[in-house]
Amino acid sequence: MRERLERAGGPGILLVDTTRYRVHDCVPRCVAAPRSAEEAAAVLALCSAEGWTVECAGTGSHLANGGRAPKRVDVVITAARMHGIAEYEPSDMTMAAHAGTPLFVLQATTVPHRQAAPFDAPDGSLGATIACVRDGPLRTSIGTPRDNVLGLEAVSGDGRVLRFGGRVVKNVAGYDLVRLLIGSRGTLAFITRAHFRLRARPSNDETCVIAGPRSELVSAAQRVGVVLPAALELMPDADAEAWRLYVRLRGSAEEVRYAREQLSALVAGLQPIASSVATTLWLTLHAQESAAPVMVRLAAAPAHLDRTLACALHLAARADRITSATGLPDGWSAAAHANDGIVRVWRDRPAADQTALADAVLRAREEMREIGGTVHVPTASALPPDVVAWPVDEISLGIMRTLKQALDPAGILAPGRFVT
Amino acid sequence: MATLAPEQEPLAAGLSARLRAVVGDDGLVTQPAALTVYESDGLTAYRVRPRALLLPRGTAQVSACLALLHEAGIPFVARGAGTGLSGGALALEGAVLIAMARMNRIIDVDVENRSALVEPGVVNEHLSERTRPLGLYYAPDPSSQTVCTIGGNVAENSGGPHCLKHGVTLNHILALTVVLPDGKVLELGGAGEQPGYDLLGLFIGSEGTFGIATEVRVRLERVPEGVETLLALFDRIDDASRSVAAIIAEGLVPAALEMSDREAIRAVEESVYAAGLPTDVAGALVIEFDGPRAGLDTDARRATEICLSNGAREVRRARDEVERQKLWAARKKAFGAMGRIAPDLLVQDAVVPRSRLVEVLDVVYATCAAHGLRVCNTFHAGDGNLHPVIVFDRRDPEQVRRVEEASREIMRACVDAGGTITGEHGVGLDKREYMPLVFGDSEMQVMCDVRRAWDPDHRANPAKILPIRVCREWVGPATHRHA
Repeated sequence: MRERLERAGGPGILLVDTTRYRVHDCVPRCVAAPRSAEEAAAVLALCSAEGWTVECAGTGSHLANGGRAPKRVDVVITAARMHGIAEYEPSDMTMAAHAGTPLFVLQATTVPHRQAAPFDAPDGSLGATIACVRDGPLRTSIGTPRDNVLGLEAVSGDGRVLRFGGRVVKNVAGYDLVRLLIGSRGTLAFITRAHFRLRARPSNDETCVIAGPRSELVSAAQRVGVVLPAALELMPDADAEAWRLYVRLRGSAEEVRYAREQLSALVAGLQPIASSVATTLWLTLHAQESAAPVMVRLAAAPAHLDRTLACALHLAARADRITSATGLPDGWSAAAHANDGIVRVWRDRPAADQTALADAVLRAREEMREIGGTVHVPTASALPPDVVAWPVDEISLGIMRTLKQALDPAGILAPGRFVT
Repeated sequence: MATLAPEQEPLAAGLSARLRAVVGDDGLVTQPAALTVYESDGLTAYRVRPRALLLPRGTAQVSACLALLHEAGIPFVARGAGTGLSGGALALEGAVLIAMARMNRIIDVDVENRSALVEPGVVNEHLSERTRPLGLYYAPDPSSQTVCTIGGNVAENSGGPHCLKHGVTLNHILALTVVLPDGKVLELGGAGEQPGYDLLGLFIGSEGTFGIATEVRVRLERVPEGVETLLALFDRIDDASRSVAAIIAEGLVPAALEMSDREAIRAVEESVYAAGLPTDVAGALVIEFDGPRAGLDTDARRATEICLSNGAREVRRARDEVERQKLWAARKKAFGAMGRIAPDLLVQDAVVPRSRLVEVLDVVYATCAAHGLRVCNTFHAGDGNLHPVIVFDRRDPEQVRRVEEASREIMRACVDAGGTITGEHGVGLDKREYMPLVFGDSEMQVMCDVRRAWDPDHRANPAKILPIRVCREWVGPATHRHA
């Protein structure tokens, strides 16, 4: 395998450190690090021909995202050697970068032009951020990769270099394969480069907090939406008896001051937070969520936020077989993107009892269905194999299978993820 | 350019009867005279009389109709208001047209969740008219918004002047009920997060080739607290283009940033829409900011300074809504006004990076001059979305040939500048042949396969988007196969 990959992709294409790219606990037989889309195409064409299974990676930090522990991984293909800014024209407010570029490089490059890359995550590569459609509290103001990625270069499972979308901000030529690839978690193609829109970097960035009981803060969150906060995050304290609503305001000094004045008129007890504390708060939240071995996302219309939160708390309690739950069991945390109706509940260590977790997820799914909501488990491996992490109806599944077949005919890319 | 309508084979009597049983006697139109109304869309150069017209009410009827057509192997095309500019709603290959005119209910407006559930035949502007008293509106505003429908907007992923800040249709659709070509009903998106692939995102903009959306849940935005509208007048069109790039580079995010050139302004001023604009300017920018009141004045001042320092003769600022509408007249009424100038108009829809506007506009003017053609430009400058309008008379074949040549040259220049062939009008029939300018064989093959995932028999809006030679097997169902 090694020799054939080297012959196809060029000498030196394989990395020595395969353990860094293990998928869950499974160490790949080879790790290929192509330097171009063409090299990636040669590798994937060979893997397709041989039926070798492939996991796509950026820098290797999201390999567990969305998938179950595989029985075997033949090859990990990483964008680690494909990094750097490919195009940046500030007056277009767009940028192109190679998939392995760390997000902080995108931010550092845009700072001098008072612009910002629209990704709310401190770490990880551009490719993984798009493939896993990573978001954060700022999604309510800057959107997710779905709203900001304009064009993608990617290599299909059978080794075709494909370019969809482009560098312009409006584009309806042909089918929107860019949207299809965003969030496809390495199951359709290996992303090698992306064009995305940039945002103006706000000169002022403030976070305020209100403390109180959950239901009061849920209604406060609905009221403060009118000031168009950059983020509106509702989180419980450790015991979940008391809650905090964090309101993040970004813009010019004038805009932020105005929003703060409006806020004070809408809700009582608003406290400003020192900027260093706020920075730590947002970074810690990201870090905790990406490291969690158990992560469950519950989502429904924003007006159902209180029920969605209640459902998330029940889920954590049931997963730990605690019956008299008002708060969160030990090791569990939760946070809500209040404007978007999305609640995440996660555990900082593996599930105590997989069966209990599975029951809790299934119960939550039933409860959420009553309000048109959904429950899914990005850390799919936390569930027993017979419980679906990403429930999809039969008709959609049929369409998804054909789409998978179109881009990965040999079915080598992350087999079993999403469509089996 | 014009396509002649072949004599259409009428629907079999048995099928007609079964369709009538679904949609009622007045829901199936087969008389040729009545069908003539539906022989073209907003791009009048192409005309094909549909084989028949169905006017269903509700998802169940659409589903039953499509199931019957599926059984009979007959293609179909959905149609909203027929304002599309790419020939997308033409019923080719013996297709039955399915008009959404009777599905025009606003089913609910959910103020708390800032969303509305509508049928596809709801007129874009009617939705905002209904929700504005509740402090909400539907942001995408194609120029045809007074007549075009939400369903058509979904099919084309429509844009509009205010998409610069607020995003296109894709960014405002929360969920769709879709009837697939075999009549099966599918829900896409929803209040929660949808697992798996983004089928909703893929469906939006698929130009009716995947199925028919029968219910649409749209996201509504809060009516902004304030609006500031500027009109900047320039003696040189290059200065206007440069101002656009400078405004974007400054980090200002106007809600809209629109340009009209001398020809477009003259057309407006010579029409009933005259707004008192000077006709000796080379170009004008309409710049609008919206949002919380704080910062609006500062943004408007900064934009004014940028325009003046880039050579603007004058920058006017609207003092009230009446003045605002007047400033917008130069842009919004331009297409209507141009209709007076010549019997036919060809509107292009290419997009270029905003930093390349100056040079691409030069090419547009030079190309049209070289072909002896008159061109007006009135477009979404902030998005780099050009709409050169070439005026001509289609009765003159020599003129038509020159229009086609110029059009192709302009398209190529836009693509060469890093742009694309369509920003919001869609590929339809009209830009199908330009697809190879932006896609290679592999991409085209993938798109064929993607289409097949939704519509294996190629009966949904046949012969659109993809050049026929790409999908070699795609020549319509067996019974209607062309030579």
